[in-house]
Amino acid sequence: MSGRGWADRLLDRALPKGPNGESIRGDLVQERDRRAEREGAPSANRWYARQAISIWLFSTRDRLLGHEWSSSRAVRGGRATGGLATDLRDGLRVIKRAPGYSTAVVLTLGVAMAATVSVFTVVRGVLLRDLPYPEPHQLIRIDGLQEGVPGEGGIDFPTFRDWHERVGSFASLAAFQGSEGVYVDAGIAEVWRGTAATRDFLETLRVEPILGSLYASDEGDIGEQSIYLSEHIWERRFSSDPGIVGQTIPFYEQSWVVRGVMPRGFGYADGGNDYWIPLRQSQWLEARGTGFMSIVGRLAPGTSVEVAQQELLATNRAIEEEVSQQLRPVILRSVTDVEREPVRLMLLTFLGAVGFFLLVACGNVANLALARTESRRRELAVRLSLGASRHRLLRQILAESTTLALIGGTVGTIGAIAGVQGLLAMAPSEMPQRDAIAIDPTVAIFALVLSIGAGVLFGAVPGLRGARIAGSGSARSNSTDRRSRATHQVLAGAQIALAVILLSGSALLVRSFVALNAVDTGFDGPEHILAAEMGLGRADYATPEQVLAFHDQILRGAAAIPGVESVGLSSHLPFSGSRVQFYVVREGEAYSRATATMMGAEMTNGDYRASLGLPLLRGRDPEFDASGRSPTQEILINEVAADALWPGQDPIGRSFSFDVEEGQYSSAASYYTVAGVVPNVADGSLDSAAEPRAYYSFPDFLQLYQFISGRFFYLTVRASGDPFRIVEPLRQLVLGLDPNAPLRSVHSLEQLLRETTIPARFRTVTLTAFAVLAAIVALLGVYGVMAYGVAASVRDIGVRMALGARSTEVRGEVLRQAFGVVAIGGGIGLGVAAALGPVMEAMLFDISARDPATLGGVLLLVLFGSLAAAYLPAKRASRVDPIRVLRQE
Amino acid sequence: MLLAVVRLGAEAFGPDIGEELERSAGRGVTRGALYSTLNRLEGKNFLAWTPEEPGEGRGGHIRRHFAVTADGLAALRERREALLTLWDGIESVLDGDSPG
Repeated sequence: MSGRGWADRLLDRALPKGPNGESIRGDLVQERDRRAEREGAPSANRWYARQAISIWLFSTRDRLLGHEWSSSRAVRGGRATGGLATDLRDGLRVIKRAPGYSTAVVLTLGVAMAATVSVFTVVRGVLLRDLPYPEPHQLIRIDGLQEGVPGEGGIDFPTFRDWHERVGSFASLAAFQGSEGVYVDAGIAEVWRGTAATRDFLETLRVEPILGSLYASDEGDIGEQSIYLSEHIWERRFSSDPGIVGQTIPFYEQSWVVRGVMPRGFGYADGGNDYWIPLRQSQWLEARGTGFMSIVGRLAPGTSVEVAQQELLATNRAIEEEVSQQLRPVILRSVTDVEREPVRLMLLTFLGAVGFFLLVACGNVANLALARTESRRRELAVRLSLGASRHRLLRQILAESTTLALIGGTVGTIGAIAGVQGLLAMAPSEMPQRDAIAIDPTVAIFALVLSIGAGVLFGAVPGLRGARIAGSGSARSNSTDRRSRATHQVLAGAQIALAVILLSGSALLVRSFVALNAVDTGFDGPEHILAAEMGLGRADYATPEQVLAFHDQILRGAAAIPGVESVGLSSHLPFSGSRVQFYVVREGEAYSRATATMMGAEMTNGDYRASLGLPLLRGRDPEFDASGRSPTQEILINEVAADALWPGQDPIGRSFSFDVEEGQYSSAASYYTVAGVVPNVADGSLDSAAEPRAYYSFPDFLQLYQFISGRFFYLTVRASGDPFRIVEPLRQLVLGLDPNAPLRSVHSLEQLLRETTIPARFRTVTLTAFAVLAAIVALLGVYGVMAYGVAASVRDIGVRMALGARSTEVRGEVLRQAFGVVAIGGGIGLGVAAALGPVMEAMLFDISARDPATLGGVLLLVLFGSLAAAYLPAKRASRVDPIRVLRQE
Repeated sequence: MLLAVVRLGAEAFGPDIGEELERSAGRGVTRGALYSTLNRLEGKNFLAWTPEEPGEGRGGHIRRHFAVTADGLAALRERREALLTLWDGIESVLDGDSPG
């Protein structure tokens, strides 16, 4: 008896828990008892002990070799068993057995996954990832509202100072604005673009320098000449000198003490990220009402944006009473939202588009998988009769589909590396956090989950059908055939619907892109116009006279260059929009905000109008004296301004004024008289409406207003041929006039125009690529379904033809079937596309999201494409040889 | 082993397979070797089993009914073909007919 004791203990150690071990133990007990009856108990016990030892030996060996006995395969009625590895092994087998099918599935899913993962990578980097500041949700941007729209800047310094002192909702509040200057090193001048900010700017964002330290809060006067450099400037210009902090560098004709180096990727502000300097106090900074500042604040812990907004509004009302002057309305928005806003809708649309594309691909491979399952009817039936359960069959089919989807997902993720690069290459520069866009573990997990999801999605239909088919035995029946064809058709119809939605969106974008490129820019021959930026040093050009003298020299010098037709200069680059705007009132009217018209101001000098090729629509050019001033302050205005100020009347000879009472622009009320009207020139982007604008003369303005320095301007040169041929002589000219004022960002207007259409091109090209790919996949799907349908019903067709049906009738019927599927799918797709109209509307220009011609055209295209795809199977059907079919019966 | 399972059909339970093997091999087969082999074949997806009611004399432990899977059948078929290929061409010799 003692033998049984240790044998059992040995079995306890050797056998796994669960049905496997239990059944082996039962087997041994059963055999021992049988033997005891035949040979007596002692012999049976000895046998039992020997078997226990052998089982212990074998199970230990197997365990060491990695073949645990616990793996078990029972499914019917029992728990689902068989590990993931077994399923994967089952799945991989399909590749060996059906390489053509596997390749088609992997490629289709691979392309769709590459698109999806690429877009997700960008979306994650831009929309989902936190901005690179600690507690980014606390960061709030305050902007002034212009005509109800938040604009950059727009806050004046005295108001900011009042907020800083009185508003308790913010832990810190900083004002900043763009800044730029020239750094001259070894005779080569380069322009740096940076940010001038109040001292708590970096502290508010909580960004630490990688070298040096932030201004200590108890530090007194930090001096105006402190500078923080960006890492890239530090690397490029100072060879990453670790001892740079505390050194003095020459910049913009002054000496600056380097306080630190800011990390790469840090860049907040609308201005540049080359350097950060303290905001310089100046007279115009002190003027209330002339807002140029942007404000960023960090909310005090536990304070909400709403509370802060209310406190700020209350403070503003109090200030308005104290200074009896109206302040510009303000809006508070989270910094995160402000950064993401320009690209949010576009990226979400892309995400939706690739989602649809992926669904089309899944529908397509589901149809393939379904056809394959049906052709494996006999194999599945055999498995079922050999003891596999339906659950087991479903699981096997899912294992296959998931394995293929995982391979497709891997291919897609690798493809996405190139896809992301492609997207970034086309993406507009306002895409925030470009540096954060990369395929990282989160993206990889997303791809993995998506692949498994896609595998389950495209495996579920064939899996369920497969289990049912196997149950119905190996014989085909008409009802299962009919049902399976219906499933195929529903899948094909769904693909068509999705493809129509995508194609509609992309067709609308293409048409709106074409319309955008056809916009009249207002000027003539942009390919002959060169625009270059210039900036003069503050020290050498302190007075308006000095600035104007330089203007004069450069205008005359450039005009003398061979090939130059006309030269002008202006305060703003065409397309850049006006940075300076005034409220103006018509002559004889009293000023009030309600009656005043907001008007952009552009200062020009030289032959500006001729250099851009702007025609005079009415009137004449202003008349200037020898000093370039117009004694009667004559100006040009654009068409929108004429309509806004004097609708339906002749504006020539009429005059208007700024709000001189409040604005502190000038000591004397100045009236400007309209000499002529020019066409509207496109602003910022081609799809934005033109703003009212007046063209003043620089000489007039510089004498009157201190806040316009005239030291920064754009040269516009019209050349008779290739404008880039005059770049070098122009450079030489500028170098000769002032080596510290280099010519910078030289472009032809044609290039600038093209740049303004980059966002539109980006969304059009990207969405169209997705739509065309989806359409191709969907049409292949229609082809596949029709071809499969014909192949599956060869017998029926043969019988009907034997009974006298003509081949044209057979062909017509196949085409009619295809037409039915596509018409229903396409109709549904069109309906959804029309319902999605409002989403598209914001990205369209000059076309309605429900444009009937576009949507109808897409439907026709898809119908035509589908019939073409169905034609081959239809032809094959009409050539079925009835005799051969009947013989096979 | 697979042949034994196929041959036993509805009777393919552990002890029966063991006895069938012993009968055809003409010698004892340790149960360690038996269950190890069953486990391996199951791992290769050649065998699958379903649990059944214990019946009497098993101390209430369940029984496993083994069946050959489609893969197992394919493997058997392959093995048979390999064997038949080996016999190709020498059958006539063994049967005593003179070649040619």
